[in-house]
Amino acid sequence: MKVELLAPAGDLERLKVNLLYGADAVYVGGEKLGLRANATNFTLKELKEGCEFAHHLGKKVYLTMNIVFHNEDRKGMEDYIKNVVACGIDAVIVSDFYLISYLVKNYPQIEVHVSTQDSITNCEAALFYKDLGAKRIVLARELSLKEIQEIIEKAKIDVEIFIHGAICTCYSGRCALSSYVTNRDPNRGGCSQVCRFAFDANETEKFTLATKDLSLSSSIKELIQIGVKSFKVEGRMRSLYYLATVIGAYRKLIDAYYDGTLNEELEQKQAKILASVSNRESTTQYLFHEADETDQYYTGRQELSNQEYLGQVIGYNEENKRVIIKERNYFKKGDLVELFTPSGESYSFEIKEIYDEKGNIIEVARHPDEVLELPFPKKVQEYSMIRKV
Amino acid sequence: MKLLVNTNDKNLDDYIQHGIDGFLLPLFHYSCDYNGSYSLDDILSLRKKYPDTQLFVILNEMIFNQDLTEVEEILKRLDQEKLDGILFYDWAIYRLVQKNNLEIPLIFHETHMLTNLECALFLKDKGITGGVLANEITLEEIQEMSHGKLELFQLLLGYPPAGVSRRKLLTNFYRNLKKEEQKELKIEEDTTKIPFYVKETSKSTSFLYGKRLNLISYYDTLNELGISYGIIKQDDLEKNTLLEVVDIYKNEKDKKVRQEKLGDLLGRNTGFFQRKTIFRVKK
Repeated sequence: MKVELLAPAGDLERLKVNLLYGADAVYVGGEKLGLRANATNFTLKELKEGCEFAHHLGKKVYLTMNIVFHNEDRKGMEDYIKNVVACGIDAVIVSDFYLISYLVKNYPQIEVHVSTQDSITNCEAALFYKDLGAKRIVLARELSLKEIQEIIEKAKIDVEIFIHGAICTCYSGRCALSSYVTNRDPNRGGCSQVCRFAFDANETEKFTLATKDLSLSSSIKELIQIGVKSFKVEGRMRSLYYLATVIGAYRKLIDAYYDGTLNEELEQKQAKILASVSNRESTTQYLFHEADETDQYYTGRQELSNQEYLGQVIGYNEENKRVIIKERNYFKKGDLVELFTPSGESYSFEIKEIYDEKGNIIEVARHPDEVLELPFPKKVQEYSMIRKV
Repeated sequence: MKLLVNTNDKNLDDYIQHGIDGFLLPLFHYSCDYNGSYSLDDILSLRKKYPDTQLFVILNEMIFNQDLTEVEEILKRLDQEKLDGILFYDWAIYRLVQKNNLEIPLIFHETHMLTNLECALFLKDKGITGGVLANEITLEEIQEMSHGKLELFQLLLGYPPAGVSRRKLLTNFYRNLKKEEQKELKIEEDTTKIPFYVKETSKSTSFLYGKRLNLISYYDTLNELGISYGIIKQDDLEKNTLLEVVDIYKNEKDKKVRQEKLGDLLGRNTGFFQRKTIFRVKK
């Protein structure tokens, strides 16, 4: 059985894009008890539709309920759980011990996954959660390959790790910086990302603790070989284009490992694609060495804007052989672009003509969300995308 | 409520003479967020020297596979020498205590996690003796949790822990500047000027919120709620000031005078006792 590719879905459209682009499962937040209180999150109706969509493709939906509970959060908890289970979710990602026990006892049909909020860093702690009845643990992001391997071998519990995206500076669950600076509780979903703020160390120097992002795309082989069960991508609030690109890249790498075609050239190619959608530099963080000064930033925020994403395919004009797209970023006649599809096909071409909604030829596309048409010889899947090359 | 002190001092005589009930002793290499650090030998010597004083060992670092054998041996020694309890963060400690049938009491100390009644009941059910309350909850929430039968520990005075990273953040910072490394640094958030103390140990870097918590005004209420232990951290206080604090707590009977004295001395920050944190910033 292949390692699972687990993607973040902030809403129904992202859920669909992730699954179409090759994720085996998605994790989503509901209306309560998740750690992204300020994301769009799923209503019960959307959750049910998402589960049906996923199950139709033979894929899964996991719901996050990983806040650190306060007394008031228990109110309505039991009814909420009953309702989300009825939507068809396959697993719940949990941090709270009481909730783990409650779910194991009352809902044996769904899996309980222990959130990275619990920062599991050793095999004895892993066994504690196994004894509680958890099916899977999401390990702390601070572990080396060797440490992960030992936990898998000794605890014999399904292990999920983060392989891509932004990471925290502090241990997950062991940080309240946001509470102290902005009064927003990070352990109930209100994190204001204080670890990306700048601090005065003295009159002239700034102290920053921001980390670069995590990317383990070049270590897929080692991680599969030590027995990791699930690769998790961070980012429930990321764009459709980001998710399509990242999930598509990891799908290719994982499939290539299993069909024996994974090589350095493919890894480099996918790493380049991943870098193209990232807004920060990335490293392997703790996987091969203790994270050090090369894994951090020292000059304040380091976010880059990304304008390679040009548009999303929303239809096809059969009569005139044109793809219909919704524009996202500026482009013009003569630009070299790539159209890529959820099933992994890719077509590079030069934009020779651009048509607006009324059928007029225009030279430049400069209005995000405008519906445009580009000549293209065949129909492609919905949610295909176009980027600059 | 019994009062526990966490000090840098290895001689505890003066504090005992001033009426303190017990001490929190951070174990070298396996503790963070607290003041001072004691080797296992130091702790065992203190046990011998002060057989009638409550001595709790802080073992609240994250534990890694490579630590487990040593930690298991430490736990056996602490049990053998009848230390009064271990404040633990990592559930590995619990597993190792169970596996070896040790009788030493365990005090749950996942810094920001003891926030609700069901959690307290769960811990009690697991045979955990006590728990250190999160500093980010309100008095009202503590009132509800006091029904959980768990012995509750509350930080009364000191800089509250605000975060721990596995990264050597100070080493990295100074290396990047090409300057001599320091293990402690005071920083201020750029716009709000909110201060933090950053401390690096052999295993991690801790952030302590730089406005000292002072809950003297709630001392009687916490007593009435049945809070078992109050914690006083030395942090950057001189020994004499710390002893003065102990005296105010132990000997000043007039509530108002007590509050005024300590408030004037160390400020009146009551943290989140009457201020709920928020987590949803938009509808």
